[in-house]
Amino acid sequence: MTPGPWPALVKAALLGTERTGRLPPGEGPGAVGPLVHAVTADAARSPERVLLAAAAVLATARRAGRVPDRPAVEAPPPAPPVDGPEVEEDASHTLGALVAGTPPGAMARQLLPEWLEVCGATGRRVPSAQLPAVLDLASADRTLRPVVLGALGHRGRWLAAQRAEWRWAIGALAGEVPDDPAAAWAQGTSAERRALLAAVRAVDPAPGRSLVVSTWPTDKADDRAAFVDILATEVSMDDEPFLEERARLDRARDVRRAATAALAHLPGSRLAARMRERALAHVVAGPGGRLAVRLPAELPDDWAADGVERSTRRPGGERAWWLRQVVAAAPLDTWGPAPQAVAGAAGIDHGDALLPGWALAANRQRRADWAEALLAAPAVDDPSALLRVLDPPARAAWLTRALEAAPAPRPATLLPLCAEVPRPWPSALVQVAAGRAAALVLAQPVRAHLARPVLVLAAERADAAALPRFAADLAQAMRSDRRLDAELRRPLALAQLRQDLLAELTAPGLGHCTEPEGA
Amino acid sequence: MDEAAALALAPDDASRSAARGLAVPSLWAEAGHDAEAAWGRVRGSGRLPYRVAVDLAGEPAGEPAWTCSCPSRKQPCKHALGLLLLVARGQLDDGDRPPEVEEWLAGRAQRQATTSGRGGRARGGEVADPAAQERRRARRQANVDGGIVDLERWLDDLVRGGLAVAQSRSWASWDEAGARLVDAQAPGLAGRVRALGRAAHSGPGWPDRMLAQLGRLHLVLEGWRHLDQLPPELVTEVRTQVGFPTARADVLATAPVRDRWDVVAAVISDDGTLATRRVWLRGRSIGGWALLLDTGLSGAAFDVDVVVGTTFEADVHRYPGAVGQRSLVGGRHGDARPIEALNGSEVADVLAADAFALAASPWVPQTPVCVGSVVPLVDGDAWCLVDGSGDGLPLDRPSWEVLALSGGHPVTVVGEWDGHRLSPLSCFADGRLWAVRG
Repeated sequence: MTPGPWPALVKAALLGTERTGRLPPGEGPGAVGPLVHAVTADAARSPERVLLAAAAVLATARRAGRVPDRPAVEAPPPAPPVDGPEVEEDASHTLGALVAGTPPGAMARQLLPEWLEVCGATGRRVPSAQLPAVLDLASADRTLRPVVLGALGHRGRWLAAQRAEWRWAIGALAGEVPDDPAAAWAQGTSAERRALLAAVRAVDPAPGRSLVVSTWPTDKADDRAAFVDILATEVSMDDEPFLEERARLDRARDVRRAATAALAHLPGSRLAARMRERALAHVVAGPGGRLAVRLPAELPDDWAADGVERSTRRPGGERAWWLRQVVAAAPLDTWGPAPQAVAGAAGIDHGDALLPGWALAANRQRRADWAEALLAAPAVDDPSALLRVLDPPARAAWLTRALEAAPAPRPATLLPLCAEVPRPWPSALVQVAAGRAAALVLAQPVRAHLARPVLVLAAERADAAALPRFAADLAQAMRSDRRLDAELRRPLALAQLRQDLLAELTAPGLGHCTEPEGA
Repeated sequence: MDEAAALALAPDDASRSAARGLAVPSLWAEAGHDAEAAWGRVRGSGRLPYRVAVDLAGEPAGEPAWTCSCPSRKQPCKHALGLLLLVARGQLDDGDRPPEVEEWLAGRAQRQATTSGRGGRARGGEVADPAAQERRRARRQANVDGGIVDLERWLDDLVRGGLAVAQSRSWASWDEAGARLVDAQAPGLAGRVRALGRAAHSGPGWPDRMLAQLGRLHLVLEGWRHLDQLPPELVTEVRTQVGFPTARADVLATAPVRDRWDVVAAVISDDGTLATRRVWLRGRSIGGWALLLDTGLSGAAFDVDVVVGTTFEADVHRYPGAVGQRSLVGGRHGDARPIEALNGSEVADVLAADAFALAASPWVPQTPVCVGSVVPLVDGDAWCLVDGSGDGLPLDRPSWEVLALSGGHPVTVVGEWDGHRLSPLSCFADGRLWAVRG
């Protein structure tokens, strides 16, 4: 850094006096000169001691004579004035514990999304000093990003712009979609191209489809199948011609299968129309809306061409399985109003071709009316999937009614469905779910493993207004029956932590700031 | 000390019964004692066994002191109590102190104290025989002299072979050289020798850092050789550098500096053997710095009596020496409050202060720095703080927290300057002082 005798001294020291011999008497810069000369010219010192003494003088002089750097780079424009207050100090400590996984956050990392959500929703923001840790966390865990974005404030977005890894926080997906997607598409590895396609589709579906089309003839079969699977999420009628005319007729079976599955999501597709005709040929309405099913004797070639598959290991027989696939891909409106159709299929021969087919169709076509009607039917295969078709309040309402109406053994099969209801759970659901779970623990200790996650979920997801009563009920239950102690301790601690966390976050310290965040 | 006296030290009944459970020789490894200390390793709930040491020197008139690598904040912890019980029952073998225990005892620096600052407990040496004291002093002097002669020879060999060859030495060889100096009762030099080993593996630019450290180490030895020609404050400085302890009581007996002290930074370093905590205080009216230095065995918890971001009025006693940063807090006046404002200097003044400190003692390892109105600047991996006049100080690492706190606006940053780079420790922004991750 400073020119002068130091670099030469370092070089001599690296080689060792055995090789370099005695340092020649030298001078130093400025006032240090005579001192350097005195130690290097001192014949009484051994070569080693001369080198060490010169190092002592020059190292000290270099440090003492240090001048400030004059950085040439420009500072970025400073952040705009802060918008909205930071959270209070207690809340900041809780955030620190949640981020670092130290107590009490160690048991409750799952509360972090809620912390961030409430922080943003109440017009507060993450304390500046904690922004780097939060941005790091959300860089690794995409699911956190939506709630992080709401709690960053101007300062957080300014900071995110300073580091490539954090760019996702400014401008939706910048940093994930490169400037020239076509070039990245042409040159990327399989994994990179799949990630790129998903990112492009999330911003705008049409260019994503164009990418797939652009290299379709030369891509490998497993890539083509993966691309069609990616197109199937958020598929629309704009994709139908490509899926129907090219992907469905592909030479590779996996690609054809992916294409017919994607087309089955579109009730307006040509494939759905063909499936409708086939279904109506085998299912006819009799008197009183009662349905009669006639199974096909053989798998027709045109069915197979539209992706209906053979299988010898299906319950109910292979012939019912063929028809089920047809029903699952036909538009649900084929069957009239859902409740009547479901009632008309109750107890008929080969009903197992209809109900599971409709359930899959309700899922593919996002039909809440069908999901509700099917959930009411006596034997549904996968109620979780049907529940996911409903919007969250409808899920909570349905599950509350079902739990309230269920006879004693039923909660065991209903309780796992609680996982499908996101936060916030209304008070009624918290009450009945926790009550039934606790009752199950007492009545059938061997099935306590089914109740345990429900109690934890209730603590995590109860609406803020329902938390105090929930915590009080748990404490009361623990006092009244020792057997519940071990099962309820963790949910109770979690509920209390959440109450504290929410109270800290919404504490009226600097006052609410409900000012909307500008650009 | 008998068993009852040991148990009387327990902070509560739980510790007492836990200690009884631990006072079983088979639970301990590498345990032993001599006249002044006891030590050992005991398995606890952690992954590694806890290392415990007890300074028995206060016996029988006073209380022993202890350190343990367990995270418990109880004083003493059950492990130290258990060890004391083993001593009381005569169930420990005589043995040689492990180096880290020797170093801890040396670092405690109050072993020659006749009274302690806290509670003024009497030490056994209070009415010590002056002749015996003189014999001890002479023995130590001879011990140190011998260690230094060895060290000079070792240094000559190192320089003759060259730093490039020295870099390829094993880690253990640096530690062994350090351990020999601990045996020679020169822990200060031991630390410098071990630091040479770290400098040799400190990445690009290591020869500059290693040669600078070699020069400073050589300067201690030159000072030692010419002790009779040095002014008194440099004599003290050189003796401190070698590792002669200063009695805590002697420090507390000096005239105090009463001021309002801002606790502006703390840094804990742990080399796997010893843990060291440096806390920096800054006096409001005199504007001077005070360094509180604590050591314990690796993993040990430190007192939480000084909290970064708070300020309190207190008497501070300075250790003797040329720069006089190291200090002890004596009496406090009133409670600690949050720091509400912190002003810093310009970059040029910071460097001038460093030169001033070096003029007083060339061995100042790091100068505390409080720079005001600086903006962090990022140029790839190179970070620096720039003040209003465009002067910059390079940082030793990226500090996203400082950047977040500043938002590109001027802030005050506290850190340690080692002559090359600034290690940021805290940042004053938005009306409060924030510790920055180390």
